[in-house]
Amino acid sequence: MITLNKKILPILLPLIIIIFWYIFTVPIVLVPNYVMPSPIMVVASAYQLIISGKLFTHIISTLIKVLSGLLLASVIAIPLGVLLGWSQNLEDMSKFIVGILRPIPPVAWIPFSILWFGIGLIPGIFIIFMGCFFPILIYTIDGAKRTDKVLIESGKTLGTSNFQTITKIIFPSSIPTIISGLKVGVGIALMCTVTAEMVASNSGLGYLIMNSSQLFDTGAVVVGMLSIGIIGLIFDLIFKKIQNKIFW
Amino acid sequence: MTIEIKSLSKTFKTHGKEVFALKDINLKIENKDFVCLLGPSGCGKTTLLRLIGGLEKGDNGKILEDEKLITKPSKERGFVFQQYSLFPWLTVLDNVTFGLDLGNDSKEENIRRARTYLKSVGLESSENLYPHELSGGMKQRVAIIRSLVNKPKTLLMDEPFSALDIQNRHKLQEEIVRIWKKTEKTIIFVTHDVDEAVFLADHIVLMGRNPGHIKEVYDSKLSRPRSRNSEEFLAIQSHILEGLES
Repeated sequence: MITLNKKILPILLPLIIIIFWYIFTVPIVLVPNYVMPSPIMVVASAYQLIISGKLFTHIISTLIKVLSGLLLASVIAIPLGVLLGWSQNLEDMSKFIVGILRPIPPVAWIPFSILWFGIGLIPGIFIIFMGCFFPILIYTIDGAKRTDKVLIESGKTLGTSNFQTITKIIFPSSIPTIISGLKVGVGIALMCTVTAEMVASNSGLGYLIMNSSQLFDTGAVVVGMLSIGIIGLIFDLIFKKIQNKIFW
Repeated sequence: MTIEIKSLSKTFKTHGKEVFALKDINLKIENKDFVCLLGPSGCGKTTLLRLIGGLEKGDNGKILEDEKLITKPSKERGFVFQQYSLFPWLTVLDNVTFGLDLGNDSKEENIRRARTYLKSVGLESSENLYPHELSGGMKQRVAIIRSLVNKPKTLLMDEPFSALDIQNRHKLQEEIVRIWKKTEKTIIFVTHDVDEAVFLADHIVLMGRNPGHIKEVYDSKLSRPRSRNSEEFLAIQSHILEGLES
């Protein structure tokens, strides 16, 4: 009986996939290589992209857009969400407009983003902003609303003003839910970035994928896809670390 | 601080019907009194305390604090809740300085003051712990201290010890009497436990339900420290019990 090391377990399945992938693309060629690149082609493309510094530039371009879009959305959505979660009147007032804007897929903003901001960093950031604004807002409202009433009342009997109730009680109490909202936001931001880069950009991983596919460089397409996956995985790990630190 | 309640009523809506939680309450609480509001569940004792705290608004009548109408919560009236109410993201020390930090005094001064109070209840070594690391008794001690450090004139307590085991409850009852004597606060304490009311209070307000009303205000002349086994204690206890059941 072979005992499997726990650390090997997560690597096992990818390894098997790569072996089969290799078998059916190198010794036994099922489909032409421009339809399905072999692992060796992917490694070669990755090597080329790394050596030339192109991969790094594209990753940075995508990350800058994701992070600035996310930051911009957070700066507006978190305070707004705390406020709407605190006041039922404000929430009722905004219910209709949020309800209508929220279901619009972020990519539907692409035409206006190009009209307003042209091609480059800004339209990407705008689309990411539109994409993660609502999840962060909705999560924050939810967290603020679930603030334990006894904490708010405790604050009042200790002398908090309305403003202090919001900043010193409702906001910290919502932090765990806000973090969950940010986690969802990052996922959407990555999706939006790549989509936006495919149409309205000249840099970034989405652009790399689109451009390489037009050149039939399918190895580079896979490199672009895997890079996005790895970035998402790293963000997820970071958020898990943060969530483990929060105990309320 | 004298608290005067004049023909106070409060209704709640349940299933579209108006139900009296409290009807025509008149009560005067003198400065430095230790008063217990005692009664079965549904008699409106907690509602009455919340009204005094300014956490609820009455429908009729008024509550005066030194001739001034009570309309909203104030740090002049500290409130200790039945549920655990410490801010879970703050340490014990930060919880205690919370009210002080809202003012203009320096952080160092606030910490110094908080530590004096923490020491008075034997929690000086726990100042860096978070609420989830404390026992129920410790949590309520911190909650009491968090109110007291603001120097309120009145301390309102809503069954603060009901979740504790009997040993802890007795210990905290003794502590609150000690604090009351030392700080000369007016304390209004809600309980459904006759033993607790007789042990703590000089004035026991007996309340009944449907609608919530005051049956009797019993002035206890029991000397302190009080012993639960003394004849007088037991006599008062049975008198109060009779009053509640009548």
